[in-house]
Amino acid sequence: MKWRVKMSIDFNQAWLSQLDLLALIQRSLRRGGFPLAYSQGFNPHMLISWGPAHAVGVASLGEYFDLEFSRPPREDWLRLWQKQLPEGLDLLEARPVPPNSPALMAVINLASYCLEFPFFFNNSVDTYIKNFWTAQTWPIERVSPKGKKEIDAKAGLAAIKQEENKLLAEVWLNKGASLRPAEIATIFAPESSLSAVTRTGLFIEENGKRKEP
Amino acid sequence: MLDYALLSSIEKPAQYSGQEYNRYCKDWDHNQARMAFLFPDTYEIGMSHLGLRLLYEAVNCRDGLLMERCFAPQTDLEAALRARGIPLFSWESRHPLTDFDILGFTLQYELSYTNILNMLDLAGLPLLAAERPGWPLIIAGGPCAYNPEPLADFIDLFIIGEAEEILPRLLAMASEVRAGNGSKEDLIKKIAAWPGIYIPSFYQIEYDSDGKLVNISNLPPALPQIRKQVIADLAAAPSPTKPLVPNIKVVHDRIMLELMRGCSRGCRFCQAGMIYRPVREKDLDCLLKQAREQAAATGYDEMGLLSLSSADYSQIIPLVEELLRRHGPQGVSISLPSLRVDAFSVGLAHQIQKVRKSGLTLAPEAGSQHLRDIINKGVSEEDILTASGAAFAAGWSSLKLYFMLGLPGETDEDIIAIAALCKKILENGRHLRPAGSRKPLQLSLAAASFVPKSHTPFQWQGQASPEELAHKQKLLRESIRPLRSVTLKTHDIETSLLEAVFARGDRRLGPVLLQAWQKGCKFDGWSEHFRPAIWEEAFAEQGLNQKELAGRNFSPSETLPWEHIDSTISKTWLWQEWLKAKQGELTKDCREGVCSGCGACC
Repeated sequence: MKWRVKMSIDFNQAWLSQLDLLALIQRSLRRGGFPLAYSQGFNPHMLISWGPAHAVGVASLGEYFDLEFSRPPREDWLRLWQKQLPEGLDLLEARPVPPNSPALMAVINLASYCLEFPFFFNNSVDTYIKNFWTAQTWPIERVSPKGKKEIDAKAGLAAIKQEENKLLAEVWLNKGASLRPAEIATIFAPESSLSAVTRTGLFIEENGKRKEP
Repeated sequence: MLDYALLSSIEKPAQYSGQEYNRYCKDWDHNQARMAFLFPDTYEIGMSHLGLRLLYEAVNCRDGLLMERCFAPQTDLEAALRARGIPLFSWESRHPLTDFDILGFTLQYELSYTNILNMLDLAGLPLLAAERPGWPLIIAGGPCAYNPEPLADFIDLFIIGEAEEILPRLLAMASEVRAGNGSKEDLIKKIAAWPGIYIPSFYQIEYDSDGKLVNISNLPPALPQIRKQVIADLAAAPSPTKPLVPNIKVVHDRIMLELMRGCSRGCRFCQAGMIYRPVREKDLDCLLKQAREQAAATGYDEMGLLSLSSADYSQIIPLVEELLRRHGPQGVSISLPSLRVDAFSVGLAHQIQKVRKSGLTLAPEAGSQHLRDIINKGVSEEDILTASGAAFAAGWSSLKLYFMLGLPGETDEDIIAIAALCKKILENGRHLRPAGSRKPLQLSLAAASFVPKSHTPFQWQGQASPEELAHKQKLLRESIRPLRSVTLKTHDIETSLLEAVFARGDRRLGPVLLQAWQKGCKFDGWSEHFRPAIWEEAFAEQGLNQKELAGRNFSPSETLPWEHIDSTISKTWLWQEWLKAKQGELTKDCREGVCSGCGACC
């Protein structure tokens, strides 16, 4: 049986990579002694499937993942599991989902972010936002260990607005290379340096309707 | 302190968070005796080290004492700390290192010595002990402390041997002296005659005009010989019931279950096999209890059974069976990192594969019987073929084999014999593997360069020259070339040369080390950071020559640089072993009945 879990990550734990976070979650589940289902084969592993990975350094108000149990866990399992987690990782909710429900990765297509800055220069952000939306395309260069490539930031950004010293952005996750928070900061606040990033939500948007996974 | 801009600019920032599960969070004000354990290499290596775990527990389990951790920051963080003027800090409470009473380095590897200087500098402390009258006290221990001389200029005090008992006592004493407004000098005078404590400033070293060490004399109250500390009852020694769980994947990311300490097999190249004597085992019940506690407290799915030769643990079969029975169903696998070369060990390795498959490594060390007898490996060609055959029969299709190049008495024939041995292993394996398996058999060879170490029978012998080692590596590569299913990895020769210089070096290396660090050397054990040309310069400026130092043979009458460090292994016994090695004579494991008189037990 499959359960869908929503968990928040604070600024201290945000620096864990997705792989390290996964290992941490698995160890905490093992400490709790829950009846989890394992894969078959030479190297059996827990059946956990994640939604879109959070980037290193990005805190989150809600990450999603699905857990597979071999038999129903006890009623208060979520509370017991919370005890096994370090400070800064909070289990917000869990609910059973149908075994054939599609993978989170396949359905979550929109993420919202809050980017915080110590301050902005004058009213520069407004101008950057206007310029961005009037342009046909907004090519940016993405550098990764694999090399450099050009992507169109306009295809990836769903919405952007300024609120005090923050930028609130919505990013498409399924349209090619999805835009990263640091890239958003470079486009709309190139003179400021980021002081914190939070993923504020993950959504499934279909035909203009938005829902949580 | 480490803000978003800094953390987002460095690799694997989670290693610096200090937010690990099961870390001790002891109250700073309540615990007045405070020390930091400094690991002079990266977090990933340091957190894989058993000694850190044991001492972290030995100190922190006592009320009033506190130990926090610090690791060598990687170069990206170091640059950021220097740019912002942030002094190096402890992982747990983020206190600057200068806030502690004691800073203790572990010496696991000679090529981490520049990192020690670098960490002291990052903490804002003077590097030379003589220029550092104030607190904190800088101490060091671990295997490389058995020849502490190259670090004598920088370290206030060394602990020789096992520190679980003496370290908490030292910390409590330091805090007491400090509370009474005493100085570091006051503390040092009080403890100068404690067994196991070596204070370099209380010993005078004399050299002759050729730079040869001629005499070591102690200044009272320090004792002429510093005898190593030994934990008599291993089962009663503090062992973490809730071990730290690192935040990022570390080199050995598993439960560390120490089965026993010491090894009596007597391989003549092996320093650990000498200095950790006598052999002390934990009993079965103690280990099962510790395994249960650690599994429950960490959630790890792997358990490493640690010792110098785990198949030699007297209860190994019942232990493995019981651990598999109790923890196997929860998906916890067992690993045995140090196996002997025999069918029994391979059988064990096969048995522990029930939960999860893993690779198999055997260490014949030398290719010919002649050379294996010189090093007292106690392994015959038949043993090697039986062991590898058993492995292939059990379904492994690849094996890792460890060898050493440059062992005393080695000839070209001994090297060619490695290739011949590999050929036999493969031929033998093809007959024994399960019918129907098609995957070609593979051997991965790792050939290290032999580094003679102090307190071993080979301590008098110089290292083979870099030219000889290059020749040996080339010869090995050529001899295995016809065997297509054998791959070879060799160690960097210049790295091994520097390791050899420091392993048997004396105090004249202090200024070289300082100069090399000043010129930018650090992380010398990492090929991407190692800068042999700078080291070469640093040696030359002190009028020393690396090749001469590494290759020098000590005569039997010479005073060795570590003569005052008593490992309890008698020098006469070591010399006899050296003579026996030259004759290719074996010395039996004393657990088989005959005591050879090494001195560790009596």
